[in-house]
Amino acid sequence: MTNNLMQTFQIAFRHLLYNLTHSLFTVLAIGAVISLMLVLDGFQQGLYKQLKMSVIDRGADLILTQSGVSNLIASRSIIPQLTRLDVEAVDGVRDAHPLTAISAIYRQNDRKNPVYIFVFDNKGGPLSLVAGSDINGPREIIIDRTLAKLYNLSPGDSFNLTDFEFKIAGIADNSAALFTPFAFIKFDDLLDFYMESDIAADITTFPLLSYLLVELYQDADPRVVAEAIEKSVPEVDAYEPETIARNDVQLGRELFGPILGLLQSIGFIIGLLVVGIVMFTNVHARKRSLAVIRALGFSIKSVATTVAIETAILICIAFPVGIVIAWIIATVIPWISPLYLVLPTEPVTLMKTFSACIVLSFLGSFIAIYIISRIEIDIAFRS
Amino acid sequence: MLRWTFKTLIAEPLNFLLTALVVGIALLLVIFFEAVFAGESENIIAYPNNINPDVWVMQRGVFNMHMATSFIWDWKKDLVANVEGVVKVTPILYLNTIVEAGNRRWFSYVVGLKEGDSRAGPWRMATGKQQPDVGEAVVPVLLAEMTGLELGDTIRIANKTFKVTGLSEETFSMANSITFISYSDLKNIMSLTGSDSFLLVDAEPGISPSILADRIRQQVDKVNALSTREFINNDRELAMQMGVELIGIMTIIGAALAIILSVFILYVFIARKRHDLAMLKALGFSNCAIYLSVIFQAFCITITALLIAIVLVYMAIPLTDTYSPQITLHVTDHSLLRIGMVALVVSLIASLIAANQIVKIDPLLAFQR
Repeated sequence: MTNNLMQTFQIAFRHLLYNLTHSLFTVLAIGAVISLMLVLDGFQQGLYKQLKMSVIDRGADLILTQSGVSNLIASRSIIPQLTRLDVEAVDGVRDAHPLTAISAIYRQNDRKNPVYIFVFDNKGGPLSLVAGSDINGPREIIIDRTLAKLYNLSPGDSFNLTDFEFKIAGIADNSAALFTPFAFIKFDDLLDFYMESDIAADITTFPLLSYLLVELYQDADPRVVAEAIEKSVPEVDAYEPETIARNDVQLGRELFGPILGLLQSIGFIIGLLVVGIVMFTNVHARKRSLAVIRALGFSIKSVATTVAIETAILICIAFPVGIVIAWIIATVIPWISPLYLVLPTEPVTLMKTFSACIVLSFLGSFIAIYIISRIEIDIAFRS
Repeated sequence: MLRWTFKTLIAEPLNFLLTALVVGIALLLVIFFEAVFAGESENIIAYPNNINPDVWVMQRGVFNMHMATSFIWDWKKDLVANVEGVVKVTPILYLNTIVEAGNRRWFSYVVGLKEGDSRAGPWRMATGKQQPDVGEAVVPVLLAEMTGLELGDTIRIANKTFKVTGLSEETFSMANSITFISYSDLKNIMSLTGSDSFLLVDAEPGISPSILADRIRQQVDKVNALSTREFINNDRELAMQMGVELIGIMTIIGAALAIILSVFILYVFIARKRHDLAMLKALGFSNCAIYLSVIFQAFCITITALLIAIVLVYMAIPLTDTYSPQITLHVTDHSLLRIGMVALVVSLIASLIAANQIVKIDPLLAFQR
């Protein structure tokens, strides 16, 4: 049994080597399809990672939200401004840093972009800058690399947001989620912005605080402190950042799951058809020699096994090729637009795509068996 | 020569169709992606499109609704109402946030409606009350079907729960479904005093919305006023521009895949027809004629592929309506034209690569057994 399988394997392998160019083209075609599946899944994973990191990167031990709010991105949370003092009075809390999130639209000429603005004090700002510096003066803003690239902006340039002029202090890296780049400003500028916009009678009563980023003492247990905060300050809910990150990722899944699932299905159908074509052309081109083999007494099963093993070998070789192509695409996409993160080599993506390839290989084998079973042996004897 | 090519193509119809199908699905990926963005862009403008006042008034520097934040000091609505040509001013509160029902969450435009004034409320109801009172909410019927919500069930916005008293039609969007609650409820959620989000202005008959918007901008300090058409265009453009790069990237990926697959198929074809092609060369057909033949073949494949892609995407519209109702596909002429151009480029590149193989064929091969 093992010997037979080895022999079949050798025949299949030799046949692939016999027509090397053809085999290479086939590997490239299958690799391209595999890369498509990896990129589509990697895009989904990138989306979720951006959502997760936008919470984790705020750098808090606990995040406090308006009671009943359990998301950070795209959610509106409003906390009474005096809450900060009450929270800082709770045992285990070293500091509570204010953070506000508002969405706005940036427009330059005819192009428009939504921007998610984080208003911060000491904590919650950008994690890393690729150009410029932190905010050091009034009316300064840090924008994400996406905006800088799209609008050709550099530190020192002006940045008009809702008719309020900021000066770009720095360009942040990896600060975007849900197809929306982030920007960071300070609280004093938010007050100025609202005052100048003439939007309310008394700006001090206007809702200015969205979240509190809580820093704990080293020996404090986050869960115990979270419970204590919720007990003494009922206006807020206290979460560990991982919980909010999970909620945001879940929201991303609800929002994009159906579309990305459908796109992945299309990718899988393309894969199935390509493997089908490979099997079809492989068998069709060798109809005569396969008929000779069958005329010599080999069963349909053994002939089909050879062809199926050939396909399995091709898919196995094509898989790393697909990874390389996907990796190149994943590197090029953020270069074109830093807004998107594609992670095609995440273990979950590789596992899903490899499983899909195994299914493709099986289905391809069925196609081979079907075609081979229909080969008429007498064509072996035709001139 | 072209006849021979055509005959060869249709001699193996299954092979030809399978090839066109694969390339077609690669092109479908691109059309589909663009159709999703276009469909969602139409959904996003459903609210301003259906409410359709003559002019929208908002915070200075704001020019649309989707993903925007706007506040106007509430006494300004009296100033707007006094502008010549204004018949009615309807203030709304607007919040872009997350709504929860059970374990499900979704993004929503939450619109706060003045009690007793249905001007800015849902325009078509599936069932239930059209105007929410305090503690009540009107949600999209499609969302209710997807989440299992029924009249009388509760939803949550921030820390407030609302009883669902109405299900509205044409208000669902994947990015922002519209939830209607009362003005005072939303005011509490937003902790607002003395501010509105937008003012919806109805004009006297015969007054041009653009002229009225100009007048409001001139007479009321620090507000922006736009005609509904301009306001809707801004929202639609924003939604489409958010997808432009992604659509571009998907077009490149889809086109590259189509090229690779076309080259592969043409290569396989040439490899199988080497003997015939050598015979043609031996009979005196020039390389140029053979080049044209391959270009023609690639062209036939991609045109068929394009037709397949278009048919599939139109077939997908009722299917997604049934099985994934949250996805709205909207195929635009612009999208089809663009994909047609992509298909032509695909066929040209694929055929040139393949033709390179043919040049290397030795006519002597025709005489070998």
